[in-house]
Amino acid sequence: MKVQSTRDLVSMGVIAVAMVGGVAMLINGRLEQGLERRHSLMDTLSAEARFSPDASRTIRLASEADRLFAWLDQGTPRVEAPWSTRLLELGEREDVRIDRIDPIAQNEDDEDFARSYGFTVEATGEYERVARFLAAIEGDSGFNVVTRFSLTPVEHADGETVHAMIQTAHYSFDPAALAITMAAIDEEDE
Amino acid sequence: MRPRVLIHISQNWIRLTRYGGADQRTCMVGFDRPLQDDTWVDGVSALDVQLASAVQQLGCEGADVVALYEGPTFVVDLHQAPVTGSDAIQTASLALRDAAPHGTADDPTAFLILGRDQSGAPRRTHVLGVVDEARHAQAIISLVERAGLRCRAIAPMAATTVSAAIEDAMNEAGSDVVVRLRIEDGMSTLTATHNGHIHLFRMISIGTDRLVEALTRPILRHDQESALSNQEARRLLEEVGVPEFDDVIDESRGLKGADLLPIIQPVLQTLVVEVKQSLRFSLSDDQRSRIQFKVCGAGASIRRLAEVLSHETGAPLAVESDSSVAKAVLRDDAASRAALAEQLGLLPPAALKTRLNRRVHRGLIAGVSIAVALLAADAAWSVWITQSMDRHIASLEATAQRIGATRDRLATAEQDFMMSRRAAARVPQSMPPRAHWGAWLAELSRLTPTAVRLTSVQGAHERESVHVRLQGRADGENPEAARRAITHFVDSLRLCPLVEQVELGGIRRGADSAGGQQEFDVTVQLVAAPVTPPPAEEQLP
Repeated sequence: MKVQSTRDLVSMGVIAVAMVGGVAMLINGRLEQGLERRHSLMDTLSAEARFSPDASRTIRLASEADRLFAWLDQGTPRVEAPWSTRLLELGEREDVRIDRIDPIAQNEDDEDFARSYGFTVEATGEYERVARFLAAIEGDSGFNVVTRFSLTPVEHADGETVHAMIQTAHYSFDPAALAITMAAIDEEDE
Repeated sequence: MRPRVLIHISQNWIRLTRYGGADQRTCMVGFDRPLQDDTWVDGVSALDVQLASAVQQLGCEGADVVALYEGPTFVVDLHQAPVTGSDAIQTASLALRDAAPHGTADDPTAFLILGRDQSGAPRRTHVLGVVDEARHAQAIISLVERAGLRCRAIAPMAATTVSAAIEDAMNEAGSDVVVRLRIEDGMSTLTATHNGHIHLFRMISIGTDRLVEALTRPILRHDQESALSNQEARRLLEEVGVPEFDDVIDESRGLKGADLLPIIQPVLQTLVVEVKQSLRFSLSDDQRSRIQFKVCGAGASIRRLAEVLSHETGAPLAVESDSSVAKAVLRDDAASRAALAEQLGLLPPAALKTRLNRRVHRGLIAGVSIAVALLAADAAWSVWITQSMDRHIASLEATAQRIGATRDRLATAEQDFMMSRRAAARVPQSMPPRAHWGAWLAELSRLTPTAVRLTSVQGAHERESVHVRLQGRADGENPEAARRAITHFVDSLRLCPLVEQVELGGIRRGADSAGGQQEFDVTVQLVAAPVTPPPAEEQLP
């Protein structure tokens, strides 16, 4: 290669330094940036990996939620027919004669969470048996309440026979409807 | 490794010697006629063909070269100063300026301390000074580079001759006075050494080239003139040397020693005169009586030359003349001459600048190459690290996804838990509390005394409380007894744990007023239990 003049050499040196610097900035700089991004990503991922949630807590919460949902959803039928049948079954079981069953109009609260319906039951039986019949209604699975009753002795009957007028209420709950309502309220508050 | 070559450029030939290894070969190309001064005018380009031919014959293209030359303008001066070191060089510089007044600052100049006397008073330092015109030095460099060689150093041949002569002289430490005549192509040197002190040093402008030149002159024989070419004359000198009068030189031409001696005798005579005069004026009678004469250099290999010179000068030839000749040949070693030339460093400023620029250029290329290699290595390392990190990130992302899913499940579980707990908490607000009717009626039956007969039991939820209205009658012997029975019944109701409050509404005379029957009306507020979810099996955070 022909030897250059001093000026050419200086120019060549400047160009060479600029080229090397440019290459370093273009290629290695980009690679370094990529490395920095990856370092940052690794730090983030490592931090996330360090703060792993407690799996046992998840299990306990889910279990408790399931238990509460199961309690809320316990066996209450959402239509009238099964419960009227059930009242007849309970009356037969407790040896109380069911004279008449009339349904009462349904009620719903504003949040669609609770829904109730009921019956007016006319029954006749011994005092003790009627008492057990009332206890059986409230103690059966579901949310059942005897809201009103009246017991009057049956005239000319033997023993403790009473005539009972019973009003019942049967409740069912919809947690999902409540959640929707509460979420809407929260959104309005925000 | 590049081959190294020493080039001699004399007035009559170019000789290339490859050195620096086991393969030391020589190639010599003679000129048809000696170089003239006008050859230098055009930068000795006339030698391009010969040099290229020699390079091709030796196969040393691209070799590093040290060039020794004979030129028209160089000055070689040996200055003997009684001082040492830089002072010696300083005085040598002044002496060289006197010897070469035409020299300019741009002309390449070099000094080299060859040695110092071992004894004598005063002991002197022998400094070699060399200067040449820049254009001629540059012409030699250009000639070498045009032949595809790389010029490392140049020096006049005379400088190496002087250096070798001084080195030989300083090696003579005996009590005899050793007179050493070094005959080279282009010049000769004469030294006289006694007890390690150089008494005499003289450069004589007669060398083997003068003998060759003499042999090219017309030879008159039988009224016919014949002449040898330059190369023929050199070959003849190498083969025959200084002939005897009756020697037959070339039978085909009928040449005899008697034909050649007349043409070389003047040269020999001039050399003898130079030697004799120098010895006469430089040595004392006592020293001259103890002279041992030695001939070395290229002239030592010319047959009978040493004997003739010894005879003519009257200086007895040293016994070890043969060995001294061998020594001289050894001293002619290409490597030592090349080393001396490189030590001198006689390069014009332009050549030095070119060399510096070449080094900078090579350094620049090397630097850029190294930088590029480092960048490439750095980039490769970065790529490798990047790939390694990508693999690590992929595994971390899988872990993060699992953790994210777990976190989502936790969030869902928390949300479900909150929703279920909130819903469960709303249950007591959404339905009336329970009064445990069955238990209450059983307790009522137990607490009702036989004197009391209930005619109506009415239970109802009123707002947040549970009320029972009891209607009945009590029989007694008299109204007082009946009222006591009622009061006792009410009191026993108050003590019942299922009862919160008892209010006696009124007592009035019954239908059977004759028997003291009393009717009553009692309102009982029962303890109500709101519907609550079953307790959790374990405490949750």
